[in-house]
Amino acid sequence: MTNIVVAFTILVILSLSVMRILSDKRKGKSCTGCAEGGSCSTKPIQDTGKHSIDKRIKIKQLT
Amino acid sequence: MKIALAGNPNSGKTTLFNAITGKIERVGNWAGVTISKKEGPIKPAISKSDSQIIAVDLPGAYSMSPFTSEETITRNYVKSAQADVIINVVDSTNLSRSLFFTTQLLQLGIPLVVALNKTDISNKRKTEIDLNQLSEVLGCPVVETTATSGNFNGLEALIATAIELDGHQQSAPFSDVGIDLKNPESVRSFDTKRFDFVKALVSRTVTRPIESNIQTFQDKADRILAHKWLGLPIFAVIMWAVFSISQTHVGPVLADVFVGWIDSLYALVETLMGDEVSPLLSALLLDGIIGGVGAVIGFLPLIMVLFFLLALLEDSGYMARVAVIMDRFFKKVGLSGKSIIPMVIGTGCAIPGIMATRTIQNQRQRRTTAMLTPFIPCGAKLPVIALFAGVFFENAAWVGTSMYFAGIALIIFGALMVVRITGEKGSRSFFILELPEYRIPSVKRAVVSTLSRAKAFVIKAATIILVCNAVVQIMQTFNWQFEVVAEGAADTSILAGIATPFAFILIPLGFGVWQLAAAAITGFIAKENVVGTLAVVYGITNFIDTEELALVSGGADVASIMGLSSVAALSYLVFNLFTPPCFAAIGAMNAELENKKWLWGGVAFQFGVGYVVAFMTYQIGTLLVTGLLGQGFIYGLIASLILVGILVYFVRKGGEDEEQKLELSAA
Repeated sequence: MTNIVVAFTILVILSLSVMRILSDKRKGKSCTGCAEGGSCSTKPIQDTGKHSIDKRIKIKQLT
Repeated sequence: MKIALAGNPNSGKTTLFNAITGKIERVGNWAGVTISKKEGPIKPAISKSDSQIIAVDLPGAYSMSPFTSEETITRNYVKSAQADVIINVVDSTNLSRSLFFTTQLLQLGIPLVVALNKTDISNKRKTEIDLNQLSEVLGCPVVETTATSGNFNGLEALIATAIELDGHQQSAPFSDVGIDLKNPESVRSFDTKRFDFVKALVSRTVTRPIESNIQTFQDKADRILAHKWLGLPIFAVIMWAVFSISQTHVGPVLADVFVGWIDSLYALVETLMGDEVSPLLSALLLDGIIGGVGAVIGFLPLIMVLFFLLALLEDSGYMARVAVIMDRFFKKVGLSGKSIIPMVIGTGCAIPGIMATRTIQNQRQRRTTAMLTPFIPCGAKLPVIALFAGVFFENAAWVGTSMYFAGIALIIFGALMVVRITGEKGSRSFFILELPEYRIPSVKRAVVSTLSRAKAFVIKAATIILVCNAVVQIMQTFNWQFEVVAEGAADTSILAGIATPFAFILIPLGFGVWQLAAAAITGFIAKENVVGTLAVVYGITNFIDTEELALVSGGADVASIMGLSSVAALSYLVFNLFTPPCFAAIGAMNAELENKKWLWGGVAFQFGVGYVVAFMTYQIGTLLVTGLLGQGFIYGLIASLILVGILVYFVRKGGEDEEQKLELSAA
């Protein structure tokens, strides 16, 4: 009986941990429990305008 | 309803955002902390409204003509009219610079209210601003605020004014209708006119008793703290003091108490389970989950003290001076002082640090900084530093300090190599950074920041670390036939089977045992895992109480438990800190570098540097301490020479490519 209770406890703890990890991943957070507000994402950054900026700098240098 | 917060960098937008939404977004007393758009509902206590009002915190921008990618985010957001009202956060201590952007925002036609922020500082300087006249000329309401104030001065009035303005059509006092955007002369001429308008407005509305040519306390402090020669030693002393307080004095005292609670929990669970429970389940719960997680959590007080002190330093405005100090060195190796900002952010977590490289305009500098930022030890690496400093070096503060300076040295070396490889030796950069005012750091803000990081640390320990420790415990309990490993035959376990080939490669570094190799491997999932895995594989509940460590090996000393000398321990620490960061940070590198060559080149460089530096640390250290070379010297030397040879090949190739380029341009 004690074995079942302990095994169940371990299962619950692990399930809760995995659920939190998956839930954070679904929200797009790179790391579970991010201290930076979870705004980081490992997905490619959209609309940063890097290319246009590089182009702009090049144009500036040329002119 | 959406209210956008827009304004110049370091005008206090995120502090205002945190105050009105109750969020804890990262703030810092320097420009460029916010690099992406953030949203949150305004607290009903402040908005006094039943309907939900969303505040949008935008990165700082100097004008509507973006120069960096985060300025582009702000420009695109306000131009696409996604906001119903704009709160233009204006630094009241620097009106002439801030109002240039204000006049551009007013042209968008979106209702705008000016939040005249940092009024506490301008009041202290006895600067008088005629709000009525300012409001009249700009054609929008102006509300005085102090976002840092505990009682949120002016924030309720500000939000109430913003809500009232919803639906109004905004007029603009200055218009550049007729500007030819394709003609640089036309743009320059209109910009000059706009500056003249702002200058005239400021001279009419602001009365300043302190002349700018009078040397203030700020100027005097900068002459010492940002001094060409004194700046760096002062920074070293400050960092040493931070580590000394957190790792040697205050931290361990708090940690002892905290670890006592973890031990009590361990004992309580052990008693509750009794002797009837299967040893497998008992080991999984006690050693794998409670022991492994407890070992990591045990370092929480040390890390909290460290983060608290770093938060105080950031808030004081000192970190911006560090950027100025480092600019001299970084410029010589093809980086700019702006590269230090991602690195300072990287002390908390490498991912936002890597993302902060977006503020750097030059593509090569941006990529080099993103590639090298992980060399600065992040918060996740602190438990590893604290463990080895505590167990092998009697909590010496020099261990942590030297790891940060070693990280800076490796960044300088790495940048030098990148410049040689990419063949852009001739490129020079300029660095303009607005130095924020020195101020007495807010204890409240430091506490909030520390608690937020502590919460994140605990959540991480209770999720990723817990699951990893449980997996490690299971993998070391069973062999490849899924039979329970017999006592004393841990070498036959699945974990040992996976880690042993890696351990073989690590022999020349002084730690060629599977347990340490396994811990280093799990560190790539999250660096705190190094501590957690060591706790599981060596069966140690916590690492703070060194007496317990001694008991584990039946009274033998700490070194024999891990099979490590002090020199090998330092080498292991160096290897874990300077080899590639966790997978999430590598993912961030991938996103920011936007080039597979740079990504894999960067990861390979980090591996090479980590391996060679750890090899040198172990072999030279062993030679100095014992007079003999360490184990596996020849193999390590061959591996190191191959790695150095590859680097030299790319450096030479880069040099040849540049010569060809020069010849072509000359022709």
